[in-house]
Amino acid sequence: MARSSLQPSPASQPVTPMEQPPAAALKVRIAGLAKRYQSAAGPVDAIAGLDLDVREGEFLTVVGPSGCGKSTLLRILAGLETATGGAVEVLDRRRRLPAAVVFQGVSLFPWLRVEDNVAYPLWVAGSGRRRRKEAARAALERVGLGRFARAYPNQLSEGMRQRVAIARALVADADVLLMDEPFSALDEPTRLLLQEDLQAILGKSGQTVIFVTHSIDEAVLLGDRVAVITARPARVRALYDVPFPRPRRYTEVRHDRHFNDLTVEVWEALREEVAGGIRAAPAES
Amino acid sequence: MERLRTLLLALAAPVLLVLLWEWAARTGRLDPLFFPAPSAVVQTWWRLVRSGGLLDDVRVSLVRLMIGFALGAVPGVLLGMAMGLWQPVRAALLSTVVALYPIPRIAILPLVLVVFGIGESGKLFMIGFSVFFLMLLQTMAGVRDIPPVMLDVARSLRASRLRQYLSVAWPGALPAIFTGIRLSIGFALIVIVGTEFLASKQGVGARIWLAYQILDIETLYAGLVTTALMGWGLNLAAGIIERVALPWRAGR
Repeated sequence: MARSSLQPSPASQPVTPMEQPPAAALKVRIAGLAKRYQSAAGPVDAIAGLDLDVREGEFLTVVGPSGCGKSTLLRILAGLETATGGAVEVLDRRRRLPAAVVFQGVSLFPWLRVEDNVAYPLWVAGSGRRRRKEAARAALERVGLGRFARAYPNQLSEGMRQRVAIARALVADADVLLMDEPFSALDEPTRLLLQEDLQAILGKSGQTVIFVTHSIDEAVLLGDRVAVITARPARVRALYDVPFPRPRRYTEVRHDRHFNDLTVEVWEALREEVAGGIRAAPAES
Repeated sequence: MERLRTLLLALAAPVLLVLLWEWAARTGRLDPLFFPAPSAVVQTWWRLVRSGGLLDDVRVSLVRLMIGFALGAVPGVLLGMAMGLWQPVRAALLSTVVALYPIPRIAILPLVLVVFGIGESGKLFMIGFSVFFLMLLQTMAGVRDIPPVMLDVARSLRASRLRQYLSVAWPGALPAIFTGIRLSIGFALIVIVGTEFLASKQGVGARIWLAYQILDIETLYAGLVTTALMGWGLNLAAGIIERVALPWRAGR
């Protein structure tokens, strides 16, 4: 695994999984993960030898150059694609599903009311009508949209729809919450608000989150740790601790020198990958 | 106000046209043998409705249309679903469907008469055939237009195949299916009237054909008015059902 070549700042230590503090229990173990696609131009390695350990209850953000395979990583974790090598293991299972996903863009069913969208994971699981209704109402209250239970998605703003998608993923009751660039389609003010909302919604729930993004600011703002992914094929280039108290407000952390130093450090690591990716990038498969 | 204005404008054109026609017929500028005055057509139409059994013809035609429609649309939707969801089914059948789809529906009537005879089954087959391909292609397109992320949602939650179809494929394809129904109504009307011209003693088409044979022009026009009303009524009904079935599209 590549390490950051930069000097550690007082605020952060690039760490590899080997150097984890012993107290943190392991939640997801990704070892030697590989994904090879067959394309017209021959085999393409989206992921090759990716190792990553995710700790119980942590918010791990994953940044990488676009097209680097970070979404593929998430789809493998979600069970939507199968790896061609290595292993993913969700440890210490306590909930109904190993993983639930908040997808990028419009993923709500336009034909279902907001409450039925939120209750959908329970419908899939065969729960009864009353149980579904109660769970959906509770989850909608949690994301601040209790009043919109009976609305249809197309009556909501994009930001509200994405909060509904978060509520749906919470109802799924999964050990790991996977978020695939969930805010990337939103305008910036809405995105900043939702970044704060997400921290409030998760609070001290102890939910383990893997959050994929291409925004460095977002990764550092939200993550307990930030994993920087290499250009394709994806591996973990470096991991950074983000030891700042929550909730973090974008407008406040912007004034913190350590926070800015860390952001720059992540950017420097990513920069080399993006530059390398641009020069060597084969056509997107 | 805006809606009232639109409504008035939409009514103005046909009303003017009818008035102009009435005037031309009464003043002898149109030959009433071919173009009887609208008032005369309406009188004849009303007389046929009250005592001439026109409503029976409408009923006969509508029953044929609905049964034939169901016989064509249900397999069309099912096969369209299958072709939309499964690439092998699509690969096996699509070229055949595309080859058969453009055949003018009425062109198979002689063949159908040979095979089925003059009875009801041939008429039902004609209507079924006329809507089957359209419903199939619409359903298939509807399924394939569902954003992949929506199937991903179902799959990521480990939904069974059956639940994936019920919760994503079916509602996702429903708007396209309703578009297919609206288009099919037009096809079905053409085909039932055309079929009744040649192979029926009852029905609106038979009524028009009989009027033609005895040169009863006013009844002929009354038959045309009746088919127009049937088309309008069927479209209206389809629209109402669509609004009930697709409440999330209200206000679009």
